[in-house]
Amino acid sequence: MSFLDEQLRELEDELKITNQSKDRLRSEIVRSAHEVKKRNLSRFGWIAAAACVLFLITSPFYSSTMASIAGKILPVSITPSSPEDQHTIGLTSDLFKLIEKEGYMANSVGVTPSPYTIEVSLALKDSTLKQATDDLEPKIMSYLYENGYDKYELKLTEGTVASSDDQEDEITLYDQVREIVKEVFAAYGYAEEADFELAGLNKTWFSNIVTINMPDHIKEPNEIVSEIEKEIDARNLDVKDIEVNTFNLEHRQQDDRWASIASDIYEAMAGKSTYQLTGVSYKVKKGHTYVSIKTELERPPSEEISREIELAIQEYLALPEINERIQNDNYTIRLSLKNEKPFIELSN
Amino acid sequence: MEKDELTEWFDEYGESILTYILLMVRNYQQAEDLTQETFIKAYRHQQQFEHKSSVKTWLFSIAHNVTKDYFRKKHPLQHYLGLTMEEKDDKPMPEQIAAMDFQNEQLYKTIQQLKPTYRHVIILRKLKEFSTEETALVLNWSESKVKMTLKRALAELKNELVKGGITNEFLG
Repeated sequence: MSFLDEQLRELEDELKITNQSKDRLRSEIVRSAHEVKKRNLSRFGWIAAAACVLFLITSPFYSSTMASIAGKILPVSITPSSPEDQHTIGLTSDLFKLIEKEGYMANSVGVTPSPYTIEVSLALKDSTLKQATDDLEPKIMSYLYENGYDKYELKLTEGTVASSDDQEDEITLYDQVREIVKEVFAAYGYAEEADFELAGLNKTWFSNIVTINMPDHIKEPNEIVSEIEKEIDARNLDVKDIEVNTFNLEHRQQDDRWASIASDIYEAMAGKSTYQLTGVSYKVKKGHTYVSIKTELERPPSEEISREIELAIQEYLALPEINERIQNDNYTIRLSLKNEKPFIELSN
Repeated sequence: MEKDELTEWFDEYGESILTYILLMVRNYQQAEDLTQETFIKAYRHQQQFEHKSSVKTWLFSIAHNVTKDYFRKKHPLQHYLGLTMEEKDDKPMPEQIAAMDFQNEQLYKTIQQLKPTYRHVIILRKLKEFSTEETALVLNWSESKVKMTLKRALAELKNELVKGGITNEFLG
């Protein structure tokens, strides 16, 4: 047995969770299991509950006006998503959890703007789409209502699961190419650049085309490409051609930093009639990031609402993790009316 | 599965599953959530367990699928996150993990920097000590793929450790 094997075994022996954390997790699991059992036993109870929710949302007491009031009362809260650990919080991940809690499986949950549409693709095994819709729709609508969403379309569809064999092949070839690209860049002294995703793979009818994203400050682009080509040939990979795209790394990094920020701000207000958002976009131009959030509002909202939005964005931007993500980027965040006239503009 | 059995299974495999997921997702809170999801799924789908493999292999298969789903369910606007996944981080050890010596902590952090397929195979084969056959079952791979990927994964791990300052002779 090699030293590394021994070291790995030792790591497993030492990698222990504190008793307190273990006990807490055990209780959580047992409690959740108990809830699952209770839910299965009380199916009729759930039907009654679903009927109540249906009654609530179809009753004259529930109206878009009431929801707008609720929207006004609900403070805007922008929750940061963490790019480092891919911990996703927010509407889509909450819906995934909700659907799973109800005993169903979602292939995907997607959100598209204008009109704000939440589309859930379900992987159905033992139930029909109608049954799943009957079970899930009231729960999802109830969740959305509780969270201030009152202007949306909800679509539940039955999806098919892509063949994992095909995906596996593609991933394997991509992984191999990616490894080669990483190794060659690192060998030329560009280890930091190599940590970025510089390889892409386009499948064609006969073979595959590798795309290399080449940072424009690299001094030996031709040598690197030819080295990658040699390595691909040596490993006999099914690759027909290599295409090279040049890009500016700093620009790309800034672009990456702002994708999640723009998304976080948009997500906090989308689907709520108070704000009437229709879309979000962002671009980096000459080192300055512009985030543009468009609304359908004919005229600026009340001062109270505008202040609420501004405050929520400022508080979000002041969070240490967001501050760290922004680095020294100059930015302008603009919310505009239907006629494109900005009614809120924040910049540093 | 009765609740007592669920508790027994957690006591026997819970910590091992949690550390497997933790090394994969690199976030303690998320790892706890996914461990919980693993056991709840096992509890819900107990009838589907055909006893063709050991309970441990079955639970790890569920944990693997739960982790895979977690990565698949990323927010659409955050696809770019795949880019930053490989970035080195010097996050402190989660406070829920008992203290370990420096060398093991380095190894723990280095494993977390490897690409997911390498992490899977190293953790299952070398830490959790599954056989090649069992690892293939958990990951739904062929045995030859397990062997080949493990070889590459260990080479990459050594490489990263050497980069981190551990000498080649020491690694053997």
